[in-house]
Amino acid sequence: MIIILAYCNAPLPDDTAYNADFATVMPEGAVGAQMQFNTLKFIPSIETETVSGKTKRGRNFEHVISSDEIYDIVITADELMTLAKRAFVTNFWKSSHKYLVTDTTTGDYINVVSGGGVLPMDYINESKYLPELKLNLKVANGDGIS
Amino acid sequence: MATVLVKNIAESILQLPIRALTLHDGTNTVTLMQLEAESDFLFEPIIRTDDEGLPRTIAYTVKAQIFVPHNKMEVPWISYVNAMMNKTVSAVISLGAINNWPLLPTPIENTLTTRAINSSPAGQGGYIDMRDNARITIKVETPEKRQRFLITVQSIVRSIFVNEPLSVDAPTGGLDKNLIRRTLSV
Repeated sequence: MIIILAYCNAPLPDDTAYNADFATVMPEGAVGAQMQFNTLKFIPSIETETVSGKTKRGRNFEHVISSDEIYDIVITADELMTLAKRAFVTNFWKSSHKYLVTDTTTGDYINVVSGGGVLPMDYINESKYLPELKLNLKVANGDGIS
Repeated sequence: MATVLVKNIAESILQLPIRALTLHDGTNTVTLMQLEAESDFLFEPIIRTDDEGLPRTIAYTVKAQIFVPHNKMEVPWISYVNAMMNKTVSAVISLGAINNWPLLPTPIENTLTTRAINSSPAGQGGYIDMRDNARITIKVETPEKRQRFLITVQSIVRSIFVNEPLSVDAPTGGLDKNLIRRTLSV
């Protein structure tokens, strides 16, 4: 699946529509970039946070506090062959404002968070020439208590 | 004339001779031509499975064995190639018809492969670009009392570039370059 990853040092307005020219959608004076990737895996899923317990009458309960869309993404070596793409994913990982576009026709920039930590890069056959990036991105604007 | 042996991909697609091997270690460049007929290479795809359960080739492991007659290896080249042993170097294997492939330009620079591929008048050519990630070994052999060098080159490459139809006698009646690029490039 083709996706766009983008980062910026300032937040984009909500519901910003995808534009092939990222400079036109960034806030004035902001610095960022976007790049297209053909993913090896792109698996959307849902993560929920719940409060659960048992009443004194013995009834089990579970209240969903929030739910978040998450995306398991694998970008493999054929998409990371160039230094430019590897530099991009490094900058993407370091950026505070990360965005994902899943539909370049009518889609918006989806603000996502990564959870931080070490850049999740594996190396196939332990070769530095075969990097593979495994992202687990969570949509920043999740659903709260309804 | 050396013949390319291709593993795992239809052999009829790549019956191209190895025309030359160019090596560069950042300082010295050696372009070896007039190779022995036994010179060949094998490549194996490195495959990952995508989220639809289908295989996706992400790169190729290439191993080439280049045989150079002793009298075609000039004295300074021997020391250059020896110095490249077991280091990471750049290498380009040029493929093409033996009669229409002019000398490769040196030194190996960004323009090398572009110029190499454009310099084949008949269009039957290509190259394997192992820039900055090739490993070589060299040893001397003496088959039938004549001396020759065996240079083994190994690398991981993303593409094997072929620029034009390789054979009008191919089963499809001629292969267009897009088909070939799709087959060999990832």
